Amino acid sequence: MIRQCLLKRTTSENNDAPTSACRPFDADAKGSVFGEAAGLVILEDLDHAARRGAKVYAEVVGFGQSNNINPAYEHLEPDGKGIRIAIEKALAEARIGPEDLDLIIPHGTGIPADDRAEAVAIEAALGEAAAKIPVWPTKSMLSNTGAAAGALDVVAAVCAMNDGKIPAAKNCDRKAEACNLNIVNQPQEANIRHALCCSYSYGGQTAAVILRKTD
Amino acid sequence: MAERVVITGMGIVCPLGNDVQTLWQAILAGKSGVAKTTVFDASTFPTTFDAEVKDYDLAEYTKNPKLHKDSNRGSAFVVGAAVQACRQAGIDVETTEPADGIDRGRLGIYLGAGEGSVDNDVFFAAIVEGWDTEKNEMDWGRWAKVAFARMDAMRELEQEPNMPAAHIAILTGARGPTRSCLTACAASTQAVGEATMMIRRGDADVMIAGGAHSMIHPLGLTGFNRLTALSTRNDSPQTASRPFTASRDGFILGEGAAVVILESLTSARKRGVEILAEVIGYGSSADAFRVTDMHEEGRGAIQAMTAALADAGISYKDVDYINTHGTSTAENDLIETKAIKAVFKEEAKSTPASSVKSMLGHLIGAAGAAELITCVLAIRDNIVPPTMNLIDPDPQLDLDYVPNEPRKMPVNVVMNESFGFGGQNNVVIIRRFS
Repeated sequence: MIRQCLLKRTTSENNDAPTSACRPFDADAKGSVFGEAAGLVILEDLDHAARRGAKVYAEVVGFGQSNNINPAYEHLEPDGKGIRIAIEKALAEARIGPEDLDLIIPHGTGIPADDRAEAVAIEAALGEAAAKIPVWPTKSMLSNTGAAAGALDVVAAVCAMNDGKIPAAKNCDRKAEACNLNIVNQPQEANIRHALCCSYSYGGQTAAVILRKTD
Repeated sequence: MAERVVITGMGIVCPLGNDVQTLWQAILAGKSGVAKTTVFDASTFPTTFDAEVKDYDLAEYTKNPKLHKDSNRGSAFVVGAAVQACRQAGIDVETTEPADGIDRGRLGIYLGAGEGSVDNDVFFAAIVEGWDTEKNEMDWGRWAKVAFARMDAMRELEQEPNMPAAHIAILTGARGPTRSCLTACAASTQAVGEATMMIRRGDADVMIAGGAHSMIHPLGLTGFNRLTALSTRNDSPQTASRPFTASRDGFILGEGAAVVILESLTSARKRGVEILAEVIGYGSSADAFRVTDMHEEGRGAIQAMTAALADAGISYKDVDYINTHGTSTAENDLIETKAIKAVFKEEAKSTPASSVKSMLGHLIGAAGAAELITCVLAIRDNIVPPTMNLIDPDPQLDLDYVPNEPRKMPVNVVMNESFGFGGQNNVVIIRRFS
């Protein structure tokens, strides 16, 4: 906890209203909220799953990974280049274009500078499609659960996909200036064929995963 | 067809020296890297000695030591190991315009690592200040007052186990896949194995792989002592690491960083760099047994060794030398011997199997990669490193452990074994390149 506080990653300005403290991509964002969790998925060879008669929840079709390189280790690169490379690699592996994405779960921590860099990266990677694709920042509800966060987002994306619904992010009422992403702040029905989940870390490692709904 | 993966650079910062040649000379001379603990005063601990990195100077490796000054010991060491390895492989560092022919998007990093030491003085000062002696519990308000006034944000960040990889990325500009694995004593063998797989599948052309770790701090030593995992032979530190002897009483805590440059054969040929060896097999498994004990029959170790042989497409009969995990604990050395017998069958007793931990100590997350470097040198020079301090063989352990003297013999294929607390097992096989 003290590490998060010293690095000014947790907000201390919302101590009287904790549930509204984590505000990814929001104009009133002041920082993140520290959490904990465990998230697991079972990944399986499709043929193996078929042989076992296991229910298939989604397919992992793309993965990309890179680095943010910033000698100020505690910050992202302002242009989010490492995130952009990860997204581009994931799209290439999935052999789909940006317009094929129906949902993005960003890393979105509620730290204004980091969210700005991530939004720039998403726009750079996805071009015009970036403004249309629904973006659901789950940390607005879950907080930043650290190493577990990415797996939680994959679980969330699979649930959204199978239910055909994107829940509303909390605390994202007023989009931050210069954020052109389509942040979901009302629950909506959605036919999600492809979902993109993005993660990055202190120290700069970035990762992007693309999931496909099973037919 | 999958890419062949070769080693084109090596670098090390370890208790036997801060470069590959010094390490190798020390090993051939049977020297020990073990001595009384100096990182902190351990004179009242059950174990008062360890294997420390000595005379390490960050400024030899970077134009900008300031950038790495807050590093945990593991990150600081990995800067030296990575720069040495990059120099040998002709990879440019600390430049925005590399001219080494390697696409930065296809240059990745895979490191075995672990949490860095807490910032001891300020951390413990805050605890002392925060302890309510009347209630016999922490007063977190008092703790926070001192902690927030004195603890340093960057020194906190640098304790995260992914930071060694961050330092290498900044040095080299690597934008390819970057991973850290935290599988304890098996981590850096896993890192080399997984990085090999990534190059084979085409995820990257070049991977900077290895490990960086130091658990030489009061909490690390206390933890391992409480687990009774460490030797307590305080009257003779340099002979304390005695794998496969009857009198072995635990491992010796070491520290360091070891890095190899793994490269697709296509990339290495294109760049015209010297090829030091080829990585031909990797196997990984879990014991699924207990968190502190190995499975009695070495179930997981056998599985990892068998998988590595299968991946390499060779028979146990083709292995010239086994670089064992050989920790000098009662349990490991017995079970590892059983596992080797199960896999190597009639060849078990005639295949040399030594432990360089007898000299190097146990580098935990950096151990496997450091030992892999000795395997490459064994192939280069056709010399098998010895198991030193093998003065009283355990009658139950009857393999050829290469006692006390290096052995000149043809070495073309080497199996390197690493087994971690928690039951993770990783095995890598390398071969002379031809």
